[in-house]
Amino acid sequence: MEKGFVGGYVGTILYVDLSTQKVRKEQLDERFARTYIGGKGFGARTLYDILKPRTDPLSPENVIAFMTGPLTGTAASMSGRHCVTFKSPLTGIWCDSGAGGDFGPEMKFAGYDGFVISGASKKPVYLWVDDDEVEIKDGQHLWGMNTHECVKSIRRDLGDEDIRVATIGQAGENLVRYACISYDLYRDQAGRGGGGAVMGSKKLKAVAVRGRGSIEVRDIRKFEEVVRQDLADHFSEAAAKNDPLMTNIILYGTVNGIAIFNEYGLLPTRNFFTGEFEGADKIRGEVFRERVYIAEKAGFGCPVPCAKLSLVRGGPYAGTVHSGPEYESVCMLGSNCGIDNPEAITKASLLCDEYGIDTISAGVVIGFAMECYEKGIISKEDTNGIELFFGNCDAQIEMIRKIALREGIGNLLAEGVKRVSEKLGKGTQDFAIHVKGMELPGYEPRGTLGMALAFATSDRGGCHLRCWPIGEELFGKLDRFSTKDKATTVFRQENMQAMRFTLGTCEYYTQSFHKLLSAATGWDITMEQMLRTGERIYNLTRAFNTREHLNRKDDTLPRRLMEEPMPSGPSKGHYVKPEDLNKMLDEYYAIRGWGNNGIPTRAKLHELGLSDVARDLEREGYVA
Amino acid sequence: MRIIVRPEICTGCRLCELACSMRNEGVFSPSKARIRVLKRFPNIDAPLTCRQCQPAPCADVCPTGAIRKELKGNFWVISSEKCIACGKCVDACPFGAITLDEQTKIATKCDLCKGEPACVDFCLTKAIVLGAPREIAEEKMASLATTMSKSTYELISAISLKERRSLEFW
Repeated sequence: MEKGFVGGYVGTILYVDLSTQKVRKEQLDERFARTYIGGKGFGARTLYDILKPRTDPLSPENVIAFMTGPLTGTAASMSGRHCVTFKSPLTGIWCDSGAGGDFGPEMKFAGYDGFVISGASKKPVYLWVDDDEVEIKDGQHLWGMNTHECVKSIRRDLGDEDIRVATIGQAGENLVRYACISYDLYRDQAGRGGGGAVMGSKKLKAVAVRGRGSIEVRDIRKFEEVVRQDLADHFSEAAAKNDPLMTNIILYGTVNGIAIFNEYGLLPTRNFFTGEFEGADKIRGEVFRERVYIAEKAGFGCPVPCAKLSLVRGGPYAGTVHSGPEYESVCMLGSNCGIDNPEAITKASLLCDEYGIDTISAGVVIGFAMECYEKGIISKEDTNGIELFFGNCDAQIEMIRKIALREGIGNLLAEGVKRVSEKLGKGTQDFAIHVKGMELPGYEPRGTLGMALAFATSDRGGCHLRCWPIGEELFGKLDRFSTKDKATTVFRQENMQAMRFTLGTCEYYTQSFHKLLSAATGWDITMEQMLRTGERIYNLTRAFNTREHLNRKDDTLPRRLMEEPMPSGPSKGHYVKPEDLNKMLDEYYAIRGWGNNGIPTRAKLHELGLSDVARDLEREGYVA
Repeated sequence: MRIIVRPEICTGCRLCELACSMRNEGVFSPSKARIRVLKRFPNIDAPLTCRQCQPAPCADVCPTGAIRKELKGNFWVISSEKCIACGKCVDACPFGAITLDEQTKIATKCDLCKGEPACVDFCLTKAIVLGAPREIAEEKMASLATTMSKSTYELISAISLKERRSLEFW
């Protein structure tokens, strides 16, 4: 088949309908590529067009799209990422979940900018993409395997150890609402929002890819020049010396953050009860490096080895081999559950990867269950005799298993903290830590109002990857306890992040986007135009959520964070006052050009080239 | 000069493969690269490429004399005019570092980018370096001496290094 637009892109998008078992390839249109760039942008437009509002996320009508960006698989620094987009079974709204590693680049070497998978198979299957050949293969023998067994089995069946595999574990099969997608052996996850459950509902156990082709860029010499400059300016030994953050990430991985955030009283502890963990020193980066890490690893095409290969050498969890755990996992499975044992956290994180569960959501759900247990809302009978106290690491490990297999109380906890608290009642909703149904990650918003606004407005619910104002609040010019300039910061960063997720680059990477994209595609792109694209995508995902009836009332935080002052630590006494949040939201909507109800205005959508979206919203009665 | 690889510190990022195909083929394509990172769980990330042997088994068996030594640079280059794609060099190479290009069918292998290898520039970890055997040997001795003279605390890290190596044989 003729390729579509090539240059950074490889020119083809693969459509797979699992209900009819039909496969079709479509050429990539240059105008579409330029408007939405790739990754999250491609996913946002594709899903907005295909999905009808109120589609059940676990029905065959939902679509899961693996989308790469124009820089995925090139030598651009930190560019091995791709984006998985779907309607989330956890939140019922838009979700995009990113992953690094070899899978996204392999998709492009095989000749595809994206896979768009719809429908549902009757029997378990897996998708096998071998360059031009695409096959939906029987996967019944894989059903029931954990993620690593499945990867090994597929590689054995197909006779090649270097095939890249995206797979789900038992959690995805059992439709755990926060099941993740796991890649290759002990490597990467597209963790958040329940992409694994969407695959499970489609009976799609795995997607396997092998690519032997090439990615062409329009001006390879210019591209090389920019990449070399980036490496010299930001990642060389000389640059690392001036950048303590980078040095620490290489030494300790992202777990470096534990000590930092604890120092400011922002480390979620015991289900977001407080922001200071007395055991923080036992789970800080230095301890992990000394006791657990054995090697530094990097994602595809990345000069920064933030991933750590871990081996637990002694004690009850001896022999655990794991890639990770990273900051969010250590925080949510560690301090948020009152656990200060690095070996146990490593084991718990490995189990989450094996069963295929998001570590962040799992940590919040189990922390929540521990609080319920200590308050007597969940009894020992409910837990089958497990003493679910804070700090009990064996109980946590057992809970992870129960959730993945939906066994006993795990069947309830597999629904996510929002649904669990609604079912339990008895005031538990006050301390169910989620936004729009998605569990919050490892930053306590009560001591950083920027993160409060970031969590409240995030397009996929409680998430730190839409923007991260905490960096500027702790190390920059912003005052973390004030609402001043928070709306502009969040606006700017959200657009920037949305753009990164279109390109296929990591959230840490900030340099030279426009130069690389211009060299790759032959377009003449400015940074301003790229940020504009970020804004377009953010408005599109907002419109997606508006169609699901979301508006200002959903841009809020759990009651605990808005009413209970922080009981201890350096952020003691602070909380997110409703009037502060409202003030920030007013400012934020104004900057965004949205109505005071949080719905994008027709003028704004028109300005961003989304007039058809504006018409849809008006027709369905959503008026700013 | 030759490329020396140190698998024990390789992070497995594969930038070397991309740098190689970028420089030599003008595209990003690991399957066209003359260097490859062999990745096997749990802890093998081994960059593999031509070691510029002398005498070179590939050159010895080549029936047309297509593989010849670059006089100034001390590295072996393949003449695409002379290569008849018989694949004898592929059989002869003990390291799997030479292959036939899938499209052109001509034998391809690393020629140190004619003296300035792109992969070395892109390896910030320094798992791939360019050096003379003497320099490499001295560096290894120096590192061994440092290890032996380390304080008790640092000896513990040395033990973990050992474990790191033993892991590779799982």
